[in-house]
Amino acid sequence: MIGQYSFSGNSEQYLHLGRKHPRQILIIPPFFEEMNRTRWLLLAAMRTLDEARIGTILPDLPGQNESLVLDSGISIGMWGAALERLAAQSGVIIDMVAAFRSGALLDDAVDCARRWRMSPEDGPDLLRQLVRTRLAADREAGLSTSKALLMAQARHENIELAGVEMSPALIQELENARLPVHDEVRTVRLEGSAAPADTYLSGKPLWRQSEPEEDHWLAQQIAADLAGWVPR
Amino acid sequence: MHEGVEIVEHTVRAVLHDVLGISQDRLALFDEATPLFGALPELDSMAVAGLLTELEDRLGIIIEDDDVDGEIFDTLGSLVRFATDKALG
Repeated sequence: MIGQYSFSGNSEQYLHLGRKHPRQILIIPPFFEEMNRTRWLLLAAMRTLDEARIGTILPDLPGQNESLVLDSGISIGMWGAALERLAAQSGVIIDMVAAFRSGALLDDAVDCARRWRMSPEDGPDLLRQLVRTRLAADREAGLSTSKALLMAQARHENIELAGVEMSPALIQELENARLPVHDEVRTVRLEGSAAPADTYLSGKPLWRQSEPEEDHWLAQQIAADLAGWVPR
Repeated sequence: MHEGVEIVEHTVRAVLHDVLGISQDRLALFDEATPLFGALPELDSMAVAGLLTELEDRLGIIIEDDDVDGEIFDTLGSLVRFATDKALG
């Protein structure tokens, strides 16, 4: 079902599958364009979990997906507060948070016993990718620019990065955003990644594809790994 | 061919397949001189950024954005040479 949660005077949407199931997972999607690119994957994994009697909640963060909040008003702190409000209004107890990519930056927003992360990315890495996209676009347009100039501009006025208008406050948050540290956290990555993980799943990084494939096998592996880690 | 270079070329081809969605059949026809940027419609600016970051993740390297110019993406050969320099020094 599609639910609504209220945050800061706005009504935001969330998708809740299997709200009567005994266990509930809050999913935090990646930020910005990667959110769109992974939506099919997340929904496919959610449907598989529903069949296994595990409920899942997928929120729209303010300023993302169907939200009416403007890009320039987005901040990491505001997103954390929004997730806290959503958890309080969802009517269920969250057993676990499952965060994808940059979503892991917010996985301390809600109290729960365990966390699960897929290919987590911290603020500086996300910012680097966003700046890199802008630099590539500028190069393609024949504009000469440099990372240092772009960052100097981003620190004192709104700039557009990868299709999103970002405020200096958000840039500063991203520059300093580290992944929260937890006792009980499981990290999964894709095979081929050079970074450490608890397990590696086979599949392509759909979040980097402009027209992502519908990879059912990857969705199933994600659902199975989540089901094995959710507290009993 | 040096074993390290072979691994880098294999990784570059895998990233072209995984990130840009170029089929293995098409990739099999790619050689060192095959043009990339401007010749592959899949390779737009957003894709360039994703491709560089994916290469970093898989090869465990850091690519400085100010070192990146259009010439890196001229051909498959130039991209492999750039990645090899970063990965093997």
